[in-house]
Amino acid sequence: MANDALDFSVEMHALTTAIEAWIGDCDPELHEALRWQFLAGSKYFRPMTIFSCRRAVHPGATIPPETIEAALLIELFHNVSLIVDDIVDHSDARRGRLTLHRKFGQLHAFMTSGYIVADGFRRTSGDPGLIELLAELLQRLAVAECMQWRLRRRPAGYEDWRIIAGEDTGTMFEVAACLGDRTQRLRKFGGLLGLLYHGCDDVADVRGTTALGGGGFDDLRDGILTLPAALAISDPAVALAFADPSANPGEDALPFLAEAFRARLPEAEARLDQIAEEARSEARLFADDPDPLLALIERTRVLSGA
Amino acid sequence: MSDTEDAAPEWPGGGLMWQAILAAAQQFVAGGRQGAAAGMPPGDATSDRLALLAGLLKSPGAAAGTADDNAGRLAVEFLGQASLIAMASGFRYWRRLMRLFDQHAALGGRLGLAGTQALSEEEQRLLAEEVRGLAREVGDAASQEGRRFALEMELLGLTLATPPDAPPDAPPNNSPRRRKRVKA
Repeated sequence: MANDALDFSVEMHALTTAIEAWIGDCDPELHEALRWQFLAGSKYFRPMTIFSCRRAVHPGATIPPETIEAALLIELFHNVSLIVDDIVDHSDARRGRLTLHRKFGQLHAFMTSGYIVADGFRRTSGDPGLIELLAELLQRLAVAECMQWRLRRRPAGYEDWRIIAGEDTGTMFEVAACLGDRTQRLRKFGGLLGLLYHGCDDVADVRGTTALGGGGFDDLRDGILTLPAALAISDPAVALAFADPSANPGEDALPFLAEAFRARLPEAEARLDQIAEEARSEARLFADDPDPLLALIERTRVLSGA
Repeated sequence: MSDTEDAAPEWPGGGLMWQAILAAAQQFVAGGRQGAAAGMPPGDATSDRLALLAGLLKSPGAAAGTADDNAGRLAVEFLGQASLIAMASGFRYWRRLMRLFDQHAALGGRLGLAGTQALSEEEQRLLAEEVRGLAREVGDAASQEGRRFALEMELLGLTLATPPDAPPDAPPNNSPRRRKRVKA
């Protein structure tokens, strides 16, 4: 079931062709940077979410060109968020190669991201529903990033993590789901899938895998509330070290925190199982054919590397 | 409940609800007729069906034989299905609430203890987390059930708006979503 339900090889080919054509239409000054950013092994998880949601509400129907276009747009805006994240996190590498700002410089990276946003909205051709969803995406992502930064090193818990992750990655997948089904029926499903993706990313980072391209050390250093962190800091000693790693100069707080987070991985996996079940429930209730969505949940769930 | 068929419901809220439904149906039918006068095709099937339904709602006793048989069947089907959907929805929600409170049964005891003895910082934090989790789950259950109920009622309404002899892809019934059967 899982393999067939997520067979979007034709659509993915159409998407990569559309991305190459889009780059070709952009200003030649930015061609090299755009190729560097967009043609470097993306997993296209968000486009796959769009296609799956479309198929879930239109079983058996061909994915239409406007859905391919929506997938292109979500990929554009997703890459804007990656470019900005990489600059803010001082990341050197993404997808096994230099980040855009390391390769071309900060000015080039910032200007390229602005160019992508402008061109993304231009491509909506004034479709009010599309504009509304994409504006919602950028605005909620902006708020989520600021909230996540403001709440770093705070002794928050699992419920806070759900709010932050739900507004961050959750928003991206919520909008992807809405772009796929265009009825809002799968919005909640999308949010839960994003939450699951975010949590699996957090857990994989603590496991030391690089499957999702994230950086567990950056989050640890910056005191970002990841899923294992949210669970571990119920212990006051961990909460203290998390809030101020320099409080005990004689001890190195980061290895202590990393070990405390690792100890909570079984609990984190159990929480991820719960979130996956919530997403399954949404898929079964609100999709005409839940199979593509159930397969998508399974594909996401394994990303934690358990 | 009164034992006479035509008596008003004892619950005043129910009476108000029926008045509102009647008014809305009559307004809709009147709007449809104005539309017909302004150029819409006469004898529009949807308007006719709604007119029959509105008439039956006004005089429920007429459904038992004296009114048009099709209209009576329509009214009985519609009201019956709507009632079933509403009851099933309410039942599902309450069952889910029961299950949630069962799952968090130990929380009640811990909350009681928290009122009588001092808790450590870690215990306080865990307690607060669990209360927040329960509150979120209760809210999620209501939200999900509300969306499910709305979808089922919308689909039921669409069956009313679709003439029985219309081809499956005729407007306004041309989307796969609208062809989905209502699950009571």
